[in-house]
Amino acid sequence: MLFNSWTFLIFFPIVFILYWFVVNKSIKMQNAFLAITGFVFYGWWDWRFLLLLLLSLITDFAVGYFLQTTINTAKRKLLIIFSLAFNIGLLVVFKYYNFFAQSLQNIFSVFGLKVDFVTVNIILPVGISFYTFQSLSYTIQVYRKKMEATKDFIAYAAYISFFPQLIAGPIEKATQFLPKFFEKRIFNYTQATSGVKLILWGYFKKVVIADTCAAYVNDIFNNYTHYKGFILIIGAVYFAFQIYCDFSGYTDIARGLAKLLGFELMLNFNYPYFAKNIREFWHRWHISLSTWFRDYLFVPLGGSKKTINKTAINILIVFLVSGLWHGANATFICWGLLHALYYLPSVYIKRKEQTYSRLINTLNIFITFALVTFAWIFFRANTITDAFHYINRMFHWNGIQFPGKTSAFFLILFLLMIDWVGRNNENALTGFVNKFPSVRYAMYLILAVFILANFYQQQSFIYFQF
Amino acid sequence: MKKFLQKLILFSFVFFLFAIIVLVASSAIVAPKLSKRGRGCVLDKLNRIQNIQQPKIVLVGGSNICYNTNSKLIEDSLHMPVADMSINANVGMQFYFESVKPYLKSGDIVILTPEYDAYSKINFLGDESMYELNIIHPKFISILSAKQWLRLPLYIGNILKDNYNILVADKNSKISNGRYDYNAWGDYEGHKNLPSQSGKFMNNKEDDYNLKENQIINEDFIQLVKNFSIYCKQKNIKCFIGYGVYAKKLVPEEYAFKIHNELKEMNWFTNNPNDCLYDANQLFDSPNHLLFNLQNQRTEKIIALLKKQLHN
Repeated sequence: MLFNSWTFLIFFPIVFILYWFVVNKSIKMQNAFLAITGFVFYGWWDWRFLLLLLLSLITDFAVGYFLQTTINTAKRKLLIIFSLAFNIGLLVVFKYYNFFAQSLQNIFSVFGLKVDFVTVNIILPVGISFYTFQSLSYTIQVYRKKMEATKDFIAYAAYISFFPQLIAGPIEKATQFLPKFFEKRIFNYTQATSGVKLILWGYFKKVVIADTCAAYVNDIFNNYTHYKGFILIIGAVYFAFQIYCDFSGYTDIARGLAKLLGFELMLNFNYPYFAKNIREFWHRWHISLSTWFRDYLFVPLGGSKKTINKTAINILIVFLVSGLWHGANATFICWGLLHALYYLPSVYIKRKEQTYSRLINTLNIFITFALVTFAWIFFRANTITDAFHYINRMFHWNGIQFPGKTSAFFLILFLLMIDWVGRNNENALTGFVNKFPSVRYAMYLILAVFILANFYQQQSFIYFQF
Repeated sequence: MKKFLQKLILFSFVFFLFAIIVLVASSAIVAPKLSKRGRGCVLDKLNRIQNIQQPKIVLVGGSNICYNTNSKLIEDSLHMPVADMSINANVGMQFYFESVKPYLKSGDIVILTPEYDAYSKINFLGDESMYELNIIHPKFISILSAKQWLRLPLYIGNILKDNYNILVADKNSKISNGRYDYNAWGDYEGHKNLPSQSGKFMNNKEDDYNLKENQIINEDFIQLVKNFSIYCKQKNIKCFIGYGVYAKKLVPEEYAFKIHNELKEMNWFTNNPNDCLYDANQLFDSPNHLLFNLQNQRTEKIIALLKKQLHN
């Protein structure tokens, strides 16, 4: 079920009413209800993959249980290896098998060897990378004895299948999020209104800005051989804003829905395009995934505690894995590699914290954005060759011209204005209307009308494929 | 909770009120511009059907009629005035039936040629294009069915966006299919001297036009056609049905005969799909539209088939 579908607009009010008025007698009932709604939400897309979700859920719950009851270190190690192998195995089978099979085939063919791996046509289950990571965080934390395994299967099922963040995060760590399913939920007016504002702004970003940009981006990237120079630059910039609005819009909606159900999800985007360097960008972009990789990959690899070269290698590995996490395509690996290259100088050149002038800060923001946008070309291109051709044609200057209508351009300006004014708030819209309270309701109405006018497009979220 | 729900309901109410005001206001502004576009031809078609002599021949269906028919030729051959009331399949067959009913009189002849895909698609109600026609001619509101009223909220956003595009975004863009591309009888002539674009739709990867053997026929649509036929019978109006023009390669024979079987009690001016199938190079911009220079050939075929039926 898509957040931007009419089905969901009917689904959520029903869930909200039943949740607060019918099943509110006990936490257990609310949890059971949340688990069921999660299954309905996920199964709506394809009920067969619900079995996969259930399998992952049952396996990791059982692993958690045995980890808790087993004292023997070797057995505990075996259990966590099993959980890792199972979850990563799911990803490999459903997401990476064809990619690895074809890549190996290509490598062998370079040496003149003809090897035929059987490639299978498997549909990628939506959100698999998100829920397997969330599930893994549970078993790892129990293994590390950072938390006790839960004996309440229903609460665990509600935690994994919590529909607002089931398909595209934020990836919540079990230590932080699971305990919330054991706390009594009391409806909080401030939390709920803040949730509605997040939902409104999230929908606007997704349905109005991202989907408008998408039309141009798809045209430019799919027909880049017909364009050159400025239009291709604009195509990359539009994609930068498309993916930001698409993903952060989704997160805002997810966080808003969670607030309406009495939960707080972690902040996933903190105005990443206002970052002054790449390191800061990664502290602001997809925060839940970055922290997951930090805690479960970078730190176990040794983090930054060893030599500077070892730290650099660890960072490189994290970025490469992060690229691969996004999809089984060399374009994503290139994207990860590029970000690693951007990031590594900051490991070797340690600078003291300095306060720069406004002009320098602006320039830094601009340079960081340009680097990030350049990397997005690899992320969006269909193949590596396409990405290089795209970049090559980008430098064939032929004057300034906008693709089609300028609506996307003005929407981006509007987004930047709201984000800049409201950047000290978790929700830019709240920050903006707090500064201009007289226009508050007019603003809400206008945003809602724009959403309504663009709602019919119902384009899927980019991150659903990951 | 009470305060929250009260505020939410109040906001939702104000929002919908605001949206409706914007919808009505923008529609009123857009109406004159919209009526100059293709669907504006409905005003001229209504004008003609109201003012021609009785008994008359009324052509009912989608654009496969107005693109492929020379009504004047029918008029001259059968010595009866012709009103081509076809517009665009997206408008929905229900609209065609309801909009012509008030003007049908005893002794009239109705020729019905729904598009092939009309039999399998669910949206015979017409969806948003139906609402566009209401902007052009608000009297059509009276023929909206309860189902269409129920679906209206789904299209408010769509209509707002269309209105915005007409008023602001597409202000200076050239209209390819305009109201004045239709002649006095209601036939489309905008494709005069234009070449075939069959490459575009014959290789359509999305399979929009490619009908399948196992295509499921929409029972509601069949019922709608039957009801219309009964209505005609009761009013002493002769109603003939036939297949619309389509690309040879894209219609499986089995599907065509399935349609005929469902409607075998009706008067068919032809139940042979081959009478209506054409090669790709004879088609203009869709499998339903012939090149302009084939209009007469197609019309003569219909006249011959009709004459045969009328003599029987």
